[in-house]
Parts: sequence; structure tokens; C-alpha cells
Amino acid sequence: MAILKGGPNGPFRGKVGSVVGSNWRDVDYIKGLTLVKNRKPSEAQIIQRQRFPNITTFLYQVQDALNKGWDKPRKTRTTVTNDAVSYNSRHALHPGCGGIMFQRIKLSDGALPKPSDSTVTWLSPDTIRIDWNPVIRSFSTCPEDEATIVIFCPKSWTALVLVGQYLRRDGKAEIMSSLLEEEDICHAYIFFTSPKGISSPTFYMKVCTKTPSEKEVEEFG
Amino acid sequence: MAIQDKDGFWRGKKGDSILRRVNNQQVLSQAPKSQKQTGPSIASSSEFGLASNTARAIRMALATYHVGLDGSLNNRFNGAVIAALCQSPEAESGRRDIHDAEPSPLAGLQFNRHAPLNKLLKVRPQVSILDNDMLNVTLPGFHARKELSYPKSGFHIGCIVRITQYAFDFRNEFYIQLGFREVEITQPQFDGFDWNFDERLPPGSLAIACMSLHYYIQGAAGEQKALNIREFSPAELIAAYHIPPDPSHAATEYRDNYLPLDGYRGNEMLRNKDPRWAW
Repeated sequence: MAILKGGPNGPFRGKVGSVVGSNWRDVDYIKGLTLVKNRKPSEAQIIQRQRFPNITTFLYQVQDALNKGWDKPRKTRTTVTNDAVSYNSRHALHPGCGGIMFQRIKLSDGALPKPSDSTVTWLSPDTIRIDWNPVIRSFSTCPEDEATIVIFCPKSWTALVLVGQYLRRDGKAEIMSSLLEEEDICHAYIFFTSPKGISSPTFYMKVCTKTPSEKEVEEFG
Repeated sequence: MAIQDKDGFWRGKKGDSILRRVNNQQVLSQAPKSQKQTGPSIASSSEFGLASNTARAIRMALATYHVGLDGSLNNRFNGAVIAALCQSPEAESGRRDIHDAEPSPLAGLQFNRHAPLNKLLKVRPQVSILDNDMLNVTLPGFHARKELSYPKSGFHIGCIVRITQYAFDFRNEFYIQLGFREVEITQPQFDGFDWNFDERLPPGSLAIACMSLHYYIQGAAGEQKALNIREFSPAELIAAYHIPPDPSHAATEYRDNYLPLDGYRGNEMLRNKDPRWAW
């Protein structure tokens, strides 16, 4: 049963026959019921259907970082996460298999310079250290810029999000977590936000537990 | 609605035309309309976007040479970068950036059209690249009062010749400023110089050298004051060349000297257009 609001021609909410009325952010929608299909989806359909959950399960975990770094849309009704999902599903998913290309994820944008001098190292099995240059080398940066750090663990598919815990003048961040113990590879992202609220683009860093030389020794003896 | 500003210039929109002020001139232009673009025109416009963004990043890095002197440098710089991209020897449009381009159109770019270096200093520097990565700049000797222009003044005015070298790595999004060398012209007969810039540059980067003249007033007690006149602040991009890539030296070795490229979005633009773009 649907409930009618605002007179006989007004919007409604609920199911009537084969249509469903709903409301999203003050916009009234009317949708047809989904068609139930019994035939098996093709491979391309499976990949296409997997694309959306791939990107949303990743981005919903880093929403705090998105709220800090992504410019709030003013003219449209979309949220920051909507915009981030839209951009990243277009540009950060593999065109063939639909998996996430982690080096192309964008969590922030803005006029501050990208922190492309940041490095990440694995100190101990459960500690990661991120270094950046605390020296001010651009007109738009200042020592009070807040660093936002995201470390994503692909094995457990979880993210560590640190917003505003470190400033640019600190120059480094040591992050300890039991989640890191089981991981071989982690994806780290960093961006800065000025006290005025202007952010830098996201810089991507990849870190492995083993150095390339250790890997070679293990593989080839 | 268009309004007249305090200098008598009209600004704003009237009907389908736009009135504005460009370089102290009244300009009347047609308002833009949405148009359906063909494939080649989209490719060409996105390449212009890339060139303009690249030129902006270089201009921001070389800000000390041109800020407040010449507003039309933006257009000239964009034109030089477009010309460099179009002369790219191999890479196709839409998959190339400034590192694939032919850098020769950048050399000779004047930063200040009110004071071209070749008009103030009649002697031209000779630039050569030795062993693919070492810059050699030679300036022959000259008579300062004949070959070099000075501002008219009753004071003692001196001049400094300065050469600065930069290395840009757009793919890793940083640039490095490699010090500068300068010489003061004190005697009427200047002996010239022969300088080798043998600093190691990051492999795969685009190296740029700028030559500039800096005039100053010297007081009786030896104190100096920089003479910041538009007509006597010349600077020129004298050399632009690629450093060949070297697998044994990574660009990250120079990380301590990294300076951020302000506002460069070229890698993102190329990658979003074509996911095969590697950087």
C-alpha cells in the first residue's frame, strides 16, 4: 500500500500495482518494479554487476577521509560519497575485469600541491611508518596543514583512516595495528588539508612486507 | 547587464556579446554556445588543456622572473608548449605529454615582452648540451656601455647576469631548482664567461635554463637597491632539453630536493582519457 502526500496529484510513497513511489533528498521518484529473470547472467554481466559493490565497499570504509578531502557539491543534491563513487567507478576500475586499480583511487582534490615526496616503510609486522617533508616549499602550504592518511589492507578488505591526527610539521606518522600483521601488501594514501579547508590531490604509495631482494631469494634460492 | 568601470571600460554581458578588458584594451567577444564537438576537435581541445596545464606548472615554478611584469606571457607560454607537443617525434595525440615532446620551441621564449633580452643585451649566449646531460653556456665578451642597455638615471647603475637551471619531472610530479650562477658587470669591458653546469639531473626529466638580467642602483657607501622596472627586467628561457632515462638511477634518489608542481593535473587528465596511460 502506498501513502499519498500533497493532494490527489501529489507524490506518493510505497507500492501501487507495478510502480513504487519514493523520495530521495526532496526529490520524488517513481520507479517500475524490477523484472525477475531466471536465466543465468553472462560473464560480462557478472563483471558489470560486481563493479559497483567493488568500489562502494572500498569507499564506504573511507568516508571520513572523503568528507575531509572532497569538495562538497553545492548545486546538486549528491553527497560527497556519491560523487566519489561516480568518479572512481569511471576511472579507478579495470576496464576488463572490473577490479579496483588502487593507484588510481582519488579520495581528495584541491589546489594544495600533491605530497609526492611521501614515502612509506614497513617497520615491524604490525607497524607502518609514513614520512613526508615538513619543510614549507610552496606559497599555499603551511605547517598547520592536517594530514589525512588511509591504509587499506586488501586481504581483510579493511581500511585504517586517520583524519587530523598528524600535521605537516610532524614530518612522519607511525601507525600500529594488529590488522597489518596478516598483510603482505598495503595500499597507503595521503593528502593534506589547510586550515582554510583547501585540500591537496591524493598521493598513492604501495608498501610490501618484503623487499624485492628478499622476494628473489625466496623464489630462486 | 554590462557596467562601465572607473577607467571607462565596459564589463559584462550585453545580448549575446561579452564586453571585457584585456591588456588595457576593450574587447567585445561572442558569448559561448554549447556545441557538438567531433572526435578530432575533442582530441585537440584536450591537448590544449594539457598544454595549458603544463605551461601553468612551469610558470608557477619560474614565478620570480615574470610575476607582475607581463600579462600576455600565459598565451605565449601555452603556444610554445603546444608547438612542442605537436612536434613530438613518435607519440600520438592524446597519449603524449611534455616528456615526449620536442623541446626546441620552448628555447628562446621571452618572459617579458616589454624588455626582450635580445634587445637589452646585443650579445647572444651560446648554449650547447654536452654528453646529453651537461649544459654549457658561453657568453662572449662585450663592451658594457655599447652592447648593454641601461636605464637613464643620474645614479650609478649596475647589472648582474644570472643563469638558473631547473629540472622538471611531470610524470613523478616534482621539479628541482639547481642553484644559479651569476656574474656582476662592473668594468666597462666585460670578459664573458664559459660555464659548465655539471650537476646531476634526475634521469628522464626536462631540464630548463633561464638567463636574466638584474639591474640595481649602487649608493656612495656601497649599498644596493634592486631596480624593479618593467622595461628593465628581462629574462629568457635559453635552453630546454631532455635528460635521457637511466634505469640505474631512480628519480626517487632526488627526493630531498623535491619541490611540488603546483596545480599540475596532466597525468590525471591523460589517465582518465585513456586507462593505458602508465603514470
